[in-house]
Amino acid sequence: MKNINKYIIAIVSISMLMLSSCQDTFDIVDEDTITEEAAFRNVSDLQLALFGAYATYSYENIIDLSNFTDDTKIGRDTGGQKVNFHDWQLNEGTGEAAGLWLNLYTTINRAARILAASEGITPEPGEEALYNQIRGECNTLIALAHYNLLSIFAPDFSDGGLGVPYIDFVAFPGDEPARNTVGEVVDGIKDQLQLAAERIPASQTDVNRFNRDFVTGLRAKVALLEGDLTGAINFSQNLINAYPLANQEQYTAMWFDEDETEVIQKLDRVVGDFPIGGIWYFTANRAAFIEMSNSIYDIVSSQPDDIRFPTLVDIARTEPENNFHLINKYPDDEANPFLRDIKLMRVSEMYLVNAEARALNNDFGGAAQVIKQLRDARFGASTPTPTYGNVQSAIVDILRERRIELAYEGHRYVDVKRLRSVTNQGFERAQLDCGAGSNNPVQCNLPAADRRFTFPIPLQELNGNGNIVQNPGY
Amino acid sequence: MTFYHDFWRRLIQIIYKMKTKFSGILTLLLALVVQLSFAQQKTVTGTVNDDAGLPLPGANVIVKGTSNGTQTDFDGNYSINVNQGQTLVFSYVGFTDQSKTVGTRNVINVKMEAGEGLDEVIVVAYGTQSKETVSSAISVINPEQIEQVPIASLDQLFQGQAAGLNVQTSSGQPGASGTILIRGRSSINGQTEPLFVIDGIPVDEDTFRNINANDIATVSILKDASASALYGNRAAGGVVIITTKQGKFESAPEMTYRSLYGISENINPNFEVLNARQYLTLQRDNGINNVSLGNLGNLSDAEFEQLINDSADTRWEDIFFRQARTNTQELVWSSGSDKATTFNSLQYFEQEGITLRSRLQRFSFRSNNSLKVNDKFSIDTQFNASFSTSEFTEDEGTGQLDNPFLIAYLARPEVSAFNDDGTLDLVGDGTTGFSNLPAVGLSSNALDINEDNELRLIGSVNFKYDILKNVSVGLRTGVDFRSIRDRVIINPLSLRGVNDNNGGPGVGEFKGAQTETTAIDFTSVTTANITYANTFGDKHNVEVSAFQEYFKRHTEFNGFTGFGIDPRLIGSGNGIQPGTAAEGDDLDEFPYIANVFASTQDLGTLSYFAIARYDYDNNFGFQANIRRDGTSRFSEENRWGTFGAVSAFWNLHKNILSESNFINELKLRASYGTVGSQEVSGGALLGLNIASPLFGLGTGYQGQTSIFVNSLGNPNARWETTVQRNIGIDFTLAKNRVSGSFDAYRNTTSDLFADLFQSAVTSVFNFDGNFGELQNQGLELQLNVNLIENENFSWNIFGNVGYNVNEVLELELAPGQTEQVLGQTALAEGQPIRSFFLVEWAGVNPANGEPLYRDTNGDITNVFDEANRQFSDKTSDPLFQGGFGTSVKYKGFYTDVNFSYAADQWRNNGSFGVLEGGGNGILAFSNGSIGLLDAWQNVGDVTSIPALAQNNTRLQADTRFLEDASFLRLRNMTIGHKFNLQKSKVLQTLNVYVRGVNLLTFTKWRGYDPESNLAGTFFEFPTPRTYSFGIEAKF
Repeated sequence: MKNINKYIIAIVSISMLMLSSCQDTFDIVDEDTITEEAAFRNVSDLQLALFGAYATYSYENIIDLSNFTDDTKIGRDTGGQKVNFHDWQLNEGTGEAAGLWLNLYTTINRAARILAASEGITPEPGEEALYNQIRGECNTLIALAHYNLLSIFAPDFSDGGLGVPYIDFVAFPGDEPARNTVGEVVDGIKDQLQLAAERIPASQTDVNRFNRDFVTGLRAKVALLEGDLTGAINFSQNLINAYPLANQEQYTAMWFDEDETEVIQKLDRVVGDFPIGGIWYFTANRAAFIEMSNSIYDIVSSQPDDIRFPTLVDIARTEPENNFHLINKYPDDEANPFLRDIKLMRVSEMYLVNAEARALNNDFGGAAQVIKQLRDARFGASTPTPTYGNVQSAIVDILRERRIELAYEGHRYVDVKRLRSVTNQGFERAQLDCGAGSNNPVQCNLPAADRRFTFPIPLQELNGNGNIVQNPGY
Repeated sequence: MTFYHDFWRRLIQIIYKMKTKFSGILTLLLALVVQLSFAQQKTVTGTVNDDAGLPLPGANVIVKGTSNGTQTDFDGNYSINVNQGQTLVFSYVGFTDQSKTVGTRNVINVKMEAGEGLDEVIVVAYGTQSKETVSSAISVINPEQIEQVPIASLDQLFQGQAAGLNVQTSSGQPGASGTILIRGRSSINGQTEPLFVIDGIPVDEDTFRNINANDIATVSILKDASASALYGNRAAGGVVIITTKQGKFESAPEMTYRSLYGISENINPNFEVLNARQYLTLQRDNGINNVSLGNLGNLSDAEFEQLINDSADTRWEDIFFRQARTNTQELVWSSGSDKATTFNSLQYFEQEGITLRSRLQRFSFRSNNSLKVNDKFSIDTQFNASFSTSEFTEDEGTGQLDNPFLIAYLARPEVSAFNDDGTLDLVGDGTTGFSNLPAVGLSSNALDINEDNELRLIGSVNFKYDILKNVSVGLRTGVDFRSIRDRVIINPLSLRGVNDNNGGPGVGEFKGAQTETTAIDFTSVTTANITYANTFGDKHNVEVSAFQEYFKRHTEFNGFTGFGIDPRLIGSGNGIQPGTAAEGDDLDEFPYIANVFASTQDLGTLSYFAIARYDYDNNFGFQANIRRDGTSRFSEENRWGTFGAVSAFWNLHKNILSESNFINELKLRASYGTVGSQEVSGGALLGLNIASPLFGLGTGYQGQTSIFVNSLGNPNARWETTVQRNIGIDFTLAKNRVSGSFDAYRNTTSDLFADLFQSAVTSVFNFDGNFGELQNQGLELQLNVNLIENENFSWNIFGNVGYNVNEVLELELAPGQTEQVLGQTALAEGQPIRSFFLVEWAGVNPANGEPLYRDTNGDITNVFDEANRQFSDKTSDPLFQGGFGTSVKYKGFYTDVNFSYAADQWRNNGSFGVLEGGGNGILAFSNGSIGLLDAWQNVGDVTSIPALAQNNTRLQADTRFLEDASFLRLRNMTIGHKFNLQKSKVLQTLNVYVRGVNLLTFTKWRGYDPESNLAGTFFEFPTPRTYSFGIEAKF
């Protein structure tokens, strides 16, 4: 021990050493996640986020609405799945309402984030088209999600009616937006679609990514919803002119994802995704907890030449005598049960939009011609031209055609809701579907004026948003 | 002695160089040195005895004012070289120091007097303090009570040992950590367990399996703000400070050997299941199809009788529980010179669990050393290295069919556990379904593997340097390092291996899976301090310290899951199918692609704090401290929190009561302060990124790699803060025969981190933020009475009780709602956390056997309606808890008895609900309680068990299976004899004892074990009863 100073030096130097490391106390970078700045560096990051936004959007939730209609009945192999929903038990605590609401607004939030991030990114030369396309796809998603929200959660579609919050920005915790009017939401959707049409290049023909034709088709649907009949006719006619209807062979192949003749827009589904058939089937053993209803089976089985009979019904396994009817729209697959792409828009829907707009516009002859064209394709032969004497009879027939053509594709609930002011009809289930002899008795009638044609704002939203107003009757 | 001379030489040089006023002192010092050189030296010998006349081995004999000293030998004899005129100071723990001036005599015998009002020192935050001047609520656990108890996790040893300390164990797995609550639950979603500090190093509160509890010297439980605010940012749940043993200066080498053997077994279950005859008859009578045997109603009486005779009658408890062994061997050696001490221990600990596969095996080594470099500079180090292997049973505490505790309740009694050749039947019907309930578990527990290897190193170094007369600086730095290799193997030949795809990407020809995870958890902490301590005018004691502390924790883990295991190469990577192995008709399926994963986490805090103490001649005094903490967890704006406390004491026995003969000591204490919790999401490593939005990679549209928002981030997230108020009394009465303390407290936690409702436009309905307030208030009493105390016989009783009432004061609730339902419990303003919120069960309708309930008006209804749920004023945390016991010593014989108890605690008995809930569906494949024999059968039957055809109601939120889980436990009982063998010269003492743990449990709870940290239980691993035999020999 020669020098007492060395202890002082030692202790001071140790202190310095230890305490100088304090600099890094808060310099902590989480290696497992990506910060906001690092998440969006360039166009390809935007594209990665876009894939996430596509994956967020669950059209399956909307197809699930088939369980709320007269197209389904409780299956023989029920374990109680969907029984309450099918029984039209709908209130602010209903999980399906919350699921739809949250998923659609989450989709909007994701797309808005990408749009916001894109503002800070300058595309490299050669990337401009992709950059614009990604932005246009985000606009389309925002428009589509608002369209879905409006059609499910707005009580009616009059311009000044109660709409949903229109969100075209990144909302943060604490935001509590009020409901916009239907007119405001429709204007917003149209703005988004306008931007989408400008941004998505014509060269984007991948049916699995949003394309200009889908934007046009969505414009036709929005026009129909708001009562812009000319717009609906014109937009749908553009697509009718551009796409042929599938013949019977192509139509069958389409449901096996082997033909895209009349497909305008798909949502691709791959191994690992939720199989659509899981909406009605236990995918593990292919037993159905939800089956096709007698009321739609009776319609399609009465016209066996219609290719839609075998594509809708799993004829081989169905036992009509035992009240056992299986849905075949998304055919089974050995390796991946019921895993099929979602055909988000087909040109046949444009025929139906076109016919409906013409009928509402009192062009009954025009409407009948359009319906005949569609039926000819489906029957594989010339069919008689329907005769429409008035708006109501035309709309009832077009609604019947929509029911067959678009069954289990997420349309029926909104179609009946949209048109009940004309048809004065709600849902009427067959006795075998809901009453004695059914697998599980449920309510048989949902009258046209029933509040349940509008979904309630979910409880969670009411809890977290002081500015939101509940729908009438809830 | 060069060391000694060097020191003086350097000091003289320094003083000369400084040329200061110290020259006067120098003269004095030089004079001393000179005197040293010329004085007359001689050898003094003698014996040191205690007040009873018995020799005191190991007493210190020091020449006053020098470092010259020695210790008495085993017979109390000493021998020392001194100069005439010098003073010898004799000291021994528990006795008053004695001084004798050396005259002409060469023999000085001393009789030590037992210390009165002896200056007991207790460990407090960042140091020690005289007990007399402590103004905080601190409980001290007697380390003797936790030594050589055959429980591998030291936190469990604290049960019943201190008032206000609630320890509950949820698993009997050897080494499983208990859950500790000090003064109630201080958070809803955040950390509620106390901070554990071992030798100055904050350690993980949930892993103690690698720590040898015999090494513990002191345990202090800091319960109020004035004590724990010094640990500011992590102390909202209180602090447990543990120090480990050090060698004594100037002590002879001592060696201790300890050995303990034990047997553990399951404690008596408080329920009974049906035997084979009862079960099959029940199925037959009620038309329940046996899952394997089918419809028994088709059998004639004779056929049925034959079936019963041919069937086994298995008590599955006997198959899945076993007598388990404990074996520990330990060697401890310590020694000390005047400059250095050393303490070392080496332990082997092996304990089997009472069910298949469960085991802990541990090697631990400790070396604690201290060095007085000189009078001013000291270094002490603590180092602990241990390696353990834990083997776990399958799926404890879950509803999986592999869980041995589920099987013990539920497996069908008519199924045989054995093959014809007497070996265990690991196949059954070959499936993994309910029909094969016992065989699935036998197969998994026999063939599959689930084990951990843990290497743990805890080390700390403490430097202390007295830079000036009243000023010292210190630096403590330490690390806690854990490396854990976890291995889970599903044997391809086990039923799970054969039948299930075990998480693989596809179903291949080869079965089974192997998951290995290697994790590292590294904590480093460095604390620097400067302390000024002085006494003015002999009476004004002042101490002021300032500290800076740097804390960093880094964890990482990585691992893989491989699929398709070759049964000949289990455990080796060579046995795993390569991911490139293709199968299928077109060789285009890849069922063996392995999963790989890796992750890291970091957490840092930086703190500045200061403490000031003042007392007037130990009569009265106060303490104030303040602390500022920054954490990496929160955003820059909310990173820093400031916490602090003030407290005061007044020793009445030194003032107005100084004349009292009855009151020996009476101290009043009061404290007020704030502490924080940054672990707002639960554990230390949860919620590290709550402040900022984060994105992650995942599989998105079309299976493509995508970027997702992982978390939104709450930049406003901040500390949960608890205001703690405490008043207390410490007392010693009746000639020190009665001692104890009484405390009353109220703690209010605000800014609770909880789910707040959001609009879906934010992409979430719920988002965590700081909102809400809760309160814990209670009373604590600790008492110790020495009934008899004399030379040969002593009898002492002690006990403690803690009473705590928890109440949520403020909570975000949905509009129109008065509570937030969380399973069986709910949160509501005015209710405690974990308060059961249920529909009242009203028995069985004698007319039809249907369950009945009470609605909110108290009327009976046969409809179960969630709208009738109401608070039952029952919670899962006990209202009262504590412990009591006695110790008796007669000559060498001694016995210690420790009880622990918890009263007014309730749990939902999920396990028993399956057993007695009935329902034809469940009874087809699982056994029932014998209570089912009393189920409703005929109109007019008055019974508490509904007709078996009624659905099982166990998942309903009703009070049927809400049970009183209060318990009184004979936690620990020891009978032993200490032999004093000082004459043998080889062995100093020999201690032989038998010790039982969990010998008796008194409870109404229907199950194996009323102890749990859960509000609802489901087939947990019960804590066992252990009998052990131990010896301890000191050489």
